Amino acid sequence: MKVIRKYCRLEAVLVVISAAVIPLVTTGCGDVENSGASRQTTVTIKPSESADDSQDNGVNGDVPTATGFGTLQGRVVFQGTPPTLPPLIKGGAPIKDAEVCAAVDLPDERLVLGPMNGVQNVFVYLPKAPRGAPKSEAPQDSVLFDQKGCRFFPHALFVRVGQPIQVVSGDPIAHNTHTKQKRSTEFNRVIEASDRNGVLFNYAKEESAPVPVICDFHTWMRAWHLPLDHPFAAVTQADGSFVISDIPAGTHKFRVWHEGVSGGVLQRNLEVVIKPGEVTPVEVPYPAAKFSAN
Amino acid sequence: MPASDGFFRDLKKVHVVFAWSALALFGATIWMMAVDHIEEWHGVQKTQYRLEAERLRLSTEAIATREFRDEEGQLLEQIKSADEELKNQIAAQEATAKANELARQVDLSSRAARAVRAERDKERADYDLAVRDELSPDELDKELQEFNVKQAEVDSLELDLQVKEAAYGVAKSALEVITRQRDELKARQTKLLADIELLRKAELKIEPTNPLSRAKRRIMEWPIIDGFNSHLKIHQDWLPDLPITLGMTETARFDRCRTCHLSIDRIEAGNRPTFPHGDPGSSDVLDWIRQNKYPHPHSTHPRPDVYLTAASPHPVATFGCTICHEGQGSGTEFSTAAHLPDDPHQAHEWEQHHDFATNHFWEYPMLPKRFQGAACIKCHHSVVELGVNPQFGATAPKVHEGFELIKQYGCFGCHEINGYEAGVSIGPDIRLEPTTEADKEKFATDPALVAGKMRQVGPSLRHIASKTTSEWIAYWTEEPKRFRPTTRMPQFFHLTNQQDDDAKKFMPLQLLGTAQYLADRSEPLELDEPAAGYEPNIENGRDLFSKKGCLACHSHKEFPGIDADFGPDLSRTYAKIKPGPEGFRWLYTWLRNPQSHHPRTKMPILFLDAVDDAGTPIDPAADIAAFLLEPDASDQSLDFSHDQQTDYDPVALDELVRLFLTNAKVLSKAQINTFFDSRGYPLPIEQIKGDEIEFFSRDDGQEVSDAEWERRKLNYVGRRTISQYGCFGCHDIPGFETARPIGTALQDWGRKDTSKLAPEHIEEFLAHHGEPDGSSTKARVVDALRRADDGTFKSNEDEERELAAAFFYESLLHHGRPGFFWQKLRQPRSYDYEKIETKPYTDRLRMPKFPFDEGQIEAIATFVLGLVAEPPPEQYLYQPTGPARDRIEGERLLTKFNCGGCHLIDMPKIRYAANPDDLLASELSAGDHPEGYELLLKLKPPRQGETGETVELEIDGERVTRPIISFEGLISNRPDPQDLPEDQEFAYDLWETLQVGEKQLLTGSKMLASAASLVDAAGNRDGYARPARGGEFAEWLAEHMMDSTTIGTTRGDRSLARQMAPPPLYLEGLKVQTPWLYRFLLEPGQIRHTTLLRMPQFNMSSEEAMALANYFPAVDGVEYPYQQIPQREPQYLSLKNRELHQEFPQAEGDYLANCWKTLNVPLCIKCHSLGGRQVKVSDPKKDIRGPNLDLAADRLRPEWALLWLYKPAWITPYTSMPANLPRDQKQFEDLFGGDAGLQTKAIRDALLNYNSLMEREGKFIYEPKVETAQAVKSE
Repeated sequence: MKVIRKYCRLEAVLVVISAAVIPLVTTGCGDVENSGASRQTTVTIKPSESADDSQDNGVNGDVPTATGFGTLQGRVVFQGTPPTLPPLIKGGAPIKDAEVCAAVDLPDERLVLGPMNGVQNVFVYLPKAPRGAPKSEAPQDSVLFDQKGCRFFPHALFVRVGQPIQVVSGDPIAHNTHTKQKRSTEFNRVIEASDRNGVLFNYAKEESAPVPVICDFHTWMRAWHLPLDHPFAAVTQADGSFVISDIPAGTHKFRVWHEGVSGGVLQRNLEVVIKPGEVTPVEVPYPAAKFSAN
Repeated sequence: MPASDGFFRDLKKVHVVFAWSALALFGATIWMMAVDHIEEWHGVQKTQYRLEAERLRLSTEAIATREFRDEEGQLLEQIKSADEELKNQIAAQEATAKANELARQVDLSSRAARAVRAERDKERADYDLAVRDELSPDELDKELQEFNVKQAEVDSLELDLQVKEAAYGVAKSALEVITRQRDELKARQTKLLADIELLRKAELKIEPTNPLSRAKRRIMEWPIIDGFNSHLKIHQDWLPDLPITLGMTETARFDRCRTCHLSIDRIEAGNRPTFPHGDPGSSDVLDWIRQNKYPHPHSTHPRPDVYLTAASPHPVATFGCTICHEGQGSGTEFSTAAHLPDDPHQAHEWEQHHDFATNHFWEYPMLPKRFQGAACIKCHHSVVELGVNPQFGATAPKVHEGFELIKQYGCFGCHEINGYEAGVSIGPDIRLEPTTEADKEKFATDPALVAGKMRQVGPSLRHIASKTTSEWIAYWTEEPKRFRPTTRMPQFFHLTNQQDDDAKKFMPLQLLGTAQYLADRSEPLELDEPAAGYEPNIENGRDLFSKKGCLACHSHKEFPGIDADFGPDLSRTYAKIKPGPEGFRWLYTWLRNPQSHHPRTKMPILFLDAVDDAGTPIDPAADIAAFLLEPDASDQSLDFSHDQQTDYDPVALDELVRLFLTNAKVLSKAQINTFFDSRGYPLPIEQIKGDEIEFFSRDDGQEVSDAEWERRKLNYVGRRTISQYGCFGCHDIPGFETARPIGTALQDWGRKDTSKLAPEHIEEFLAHHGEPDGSSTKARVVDALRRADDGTFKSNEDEERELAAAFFYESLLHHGRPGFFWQKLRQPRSYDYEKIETKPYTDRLRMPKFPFDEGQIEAIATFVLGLVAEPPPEQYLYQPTGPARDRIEGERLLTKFNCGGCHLIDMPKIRYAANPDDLLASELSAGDHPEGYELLLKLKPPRQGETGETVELEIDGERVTRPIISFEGLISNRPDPQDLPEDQEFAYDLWETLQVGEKQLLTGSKMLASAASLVDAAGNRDGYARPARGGEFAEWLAEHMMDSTTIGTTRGDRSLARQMAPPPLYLEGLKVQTPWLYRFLLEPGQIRHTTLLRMPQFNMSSEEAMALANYFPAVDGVEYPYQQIPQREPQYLSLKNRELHQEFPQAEGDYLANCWKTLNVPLCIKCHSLGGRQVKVSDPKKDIRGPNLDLAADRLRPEWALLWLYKPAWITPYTSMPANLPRDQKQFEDLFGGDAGLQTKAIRDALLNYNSLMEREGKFIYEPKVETAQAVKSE
């Protein structure tokens, strides 16, 4: 009960945060997008199960440089002149399932910039759980992964290994949702037209980088999932900001990953010092040269 | 004088002679027995017995640990005290006494009954005799009475016995209750000691402890006495069905090899050798046992699954030893058995330890270790199964390699290997196929003749003038490797017997003449060309060259990651092909249709047809030709020009022509002189049988001009050179259609009389020359033997190579076949050393030098030495039938057409040390169909993943033992080089169904192996322990395309990239219908849209296509050549119809109509064209498009198709095709009630009835029912 209460409280806080953020988002974001983003945030920032566990675990594991936990808060900012990406599909284009997929312009989501050039959909994560971090079970409440207008929502999603993902579709045509992870069996099946119950699946193993999710029927459709076996990861919001809390104090090397970078890795080792009870601010530059439009 | 004994002889003298001769005879007998007794094998057998005894003793000791002894002692104590206790117990005493008394009484009664029973039986027999003798009724009655009396007596006694037995039973049970505890202890003791007792018994048999038995065993080893069933004796395999030819007669084979090799067939549970062979480095048997390594002759034969055991294909009782090993089977001494050392160093060791001397009286000594497998081809005439064998692996890889080399390099063009004698198979058959119509006719009509099957290995030269210039031909022929280092064409010129002035004078003329003859006699070829105005695009050509499959057979320096050598390296095509438009047109024609230039070429038709790419014409053949003909400015080695002027010495030409004419022995010297004056050949054309035909021309009768005279002379020299060197063995050359191979036939070369080998001055040659750098081979060998003695070889490979050279060199000095053969392939003309001075230029040795290394030479030698043309009786020949035969024939064709160049044929195998807890067992999800899973297990039965082996690993600083797991799969992700070494991990797609302990892993599972956990993966970048067979190009292309966005939109997607490459043929037999495959092989149509290339059309006969089509089902163990498709039969359809209407009364139309509707729902059409509708393509470059479904009915087997529809990833892990009708979704409820399982079967049935449904139902667009249409399902 205590956990649930805590969770609800946090979500309330986040709803407030997102309510503050939404008006800042100026263009191109429909309702659906926001709902996707908010779900993703919910999952991302969920703290470890209980701070009380840390004592036990801390004794056995490698003790971080200082005891206690801190928060990493930052932004990914695009530097230089951002490219203008033409829509992936023009509204009305004579494509497969055009009545659904080409009803409106389909944006190219390989680079989504928010206010003050904040880059959305960037993954910031620790490739491995830090030593001494408390063990945390994956949340058992499912996260929604939606398909509408031949787009995936959310476009970038951090999930925990074992956490159920509910794949649904709001399109009156069938989609084929196909995850392309490297370490566990792929999910590759048809989601029937307008299926709001959808299908549950989860990742059985963590990955070292976000995995593409595609629809083999509509090959332009693409999203990214990052399944990890620990909670220390986040996806940047519309303004490029992210928060990762309850990180064991000490020095950590975060990986910053974005699909627009060739090979994906924007920063392989973003070194950050976390101090107990403190918020460590960080700004990650995204040089225009790193973005490759192919 | 009366005659007396002394009349003829002096008796005294006679007595003396007799006495001495008796003594001499006695001495000789003793000597004979002594010699017999000290034969080596006695000692060997004694050692063997000691070894056995020690081993048994050590095994006993291993069991009898301290704990074991303690337990035994405790048990003994307990039994003792239990006995004591029982002794003192009154109840026990009484019960024992009672039981004993009753037992005594039972015994007495039983004896009494037995005696009377015998008497009763006698009375019965008397009665029976009376019946037989037809005695009177009175007498009969009397006999019967007597019988009845005895029977009554028996009955009473038996009753008494029964009563007593029952009483005894009761008493015994009562006693058992009392003694139960003690009895149980005794039973435990017996069980504990059972193994040890067995070992002890076996040990006692060999080394008895009882002094009497010991003495008896010792005495049995004494001379003479040992002739009476001693344990030391000759072990003999008598093989009357496998005769041996001795001198000129055939006799039964006696192999006594097992006299010394006593434990050669000793195996343990699990088919493992009891005495594995190895060098223990000691002569103490205890060391052998400790190391579990046993030297000859005490070791067990390797591979008991293949040899010697009764369950193997070669049981020793049927095959003996010498049929495979050769040697003198009847010999019982090391030397008389005709052992043959593997190298002179070993010979030296043998001399020291075994008094070894070569047995000159035995013509065919044992095959040394290096020629192991040579004898296999006595029975295995098809050879293929010795190299590729799904059951046993490669059992004779060296012989197989030699066989393949001979086929690749075309040795049979000159040296026929005729595997038939009067229509009966006598050995491997490697001969050219008949080329002329007359020959073909002859083989077709005479059943006793078997035609050769091999094509000429070189390109046809019939239209060579269209392809290149005579200057290039001369340049190439002079030294082919100079132009293309990887060529298989041998070198004919500038060899060791062509270093003198004559050769220097004549060789250029022969080259010039050959080139001129070929150009002159070249027949015109109709050349194709691209559409007028088409501008070939070199860049596009480069791209197409990499994608259209050229690299599956050829290599090119611009594509360094792949180096196929089935066809020639094409890097310098621009320098070879005729310059200008004609050369381009020739290449264009060749690429479009290679058979127009060379009807028997193996180059397939690649369907490089011009296409229209959104208004831009693309002619792939023209683009590729342009790419290949684009000169490389950096090619510095281009020391040749197509228009170079070749001067020659006219006097030398005349001299050479005279030499050839003299050598032809048709014209006299005077005639030749006249001919040179008149230029008219002295004989009429009808009488010309040889190359002199070149002196005639079509416009005969005219005066021969100077130019024509020079042309004729050069042509004659060219033609003579071609005849002399037998170029037509490999190439189709005009004028040589009926020419016969020029070399010695090799089918019985392994038995060639060594006196017929002519080593000439080879010893002198090798003393001063012989090595590629000109140094002495003798010095090399002396050095090798010194290093072997000192043990100073740098590596085992070094030692092996150098001692091999020493072996062959020694063999050559002793006129051995192996040595002669070795030097013949190394330096074929070296036998002319100091011989050319005494023989005419035209008689010099002709064998060219092939680019073989010494390892290849040894492989070829192993094969050729195995060619003995001595087939054993028919029952010994390996003549498989059914699938085994079809597999072998298919393997031959896979090699012939290089199917493995593109397609993966056998999956690679990965072996790694797994943590079984980390393995994710596959679980059926809610969407998976249980019936599909059952079908999967049927088509791909789970294989055991645990190998039973373990390996020690260091994980996080701790040493842990992990089981080794092996599986078949393909790399799906290589480790990130930037990761820490401990994080380096390989990921694989599992392609089979694997069982690991309780866990079952299905196809499509990901297998993760850390780099450190891989076993046997050294040097393989994908971590494979056994690399894939075939598919190199497919994997290269996929790798090459991974970063392309040709299909899909995700870079680095290996799965999508694999879909662009030729598909693997893994379980192809399960997948396709054999008749379809047969047709497809002959006339391949386009199946896939995602692949970048199409299956080309091979130059294969319909028999070959049939054999290849049969190969795949034969390998996979499924039905062929014909398949039933029950889904098309009326019974099946009417049953389905009934079921449909019973279950879904609302269903409209019959079963097939509903199937058709299901096929046409908006699912399949997303990616496949079907039912008269084209798939809607959004972006032809990126869309993932499936095969057109009209092919499925004839192409796919019903079970495979159904499994594919249930879950495609269970068949092909990398496919994009999803599970379209998952079990937990209810789509299209008006069709089969929305039951996904029924709908899946319906789609399969629609596919199998596609053509008739298309005809019957036609185009159909599924309209969803109103109630389900567009409805958002339960939000």
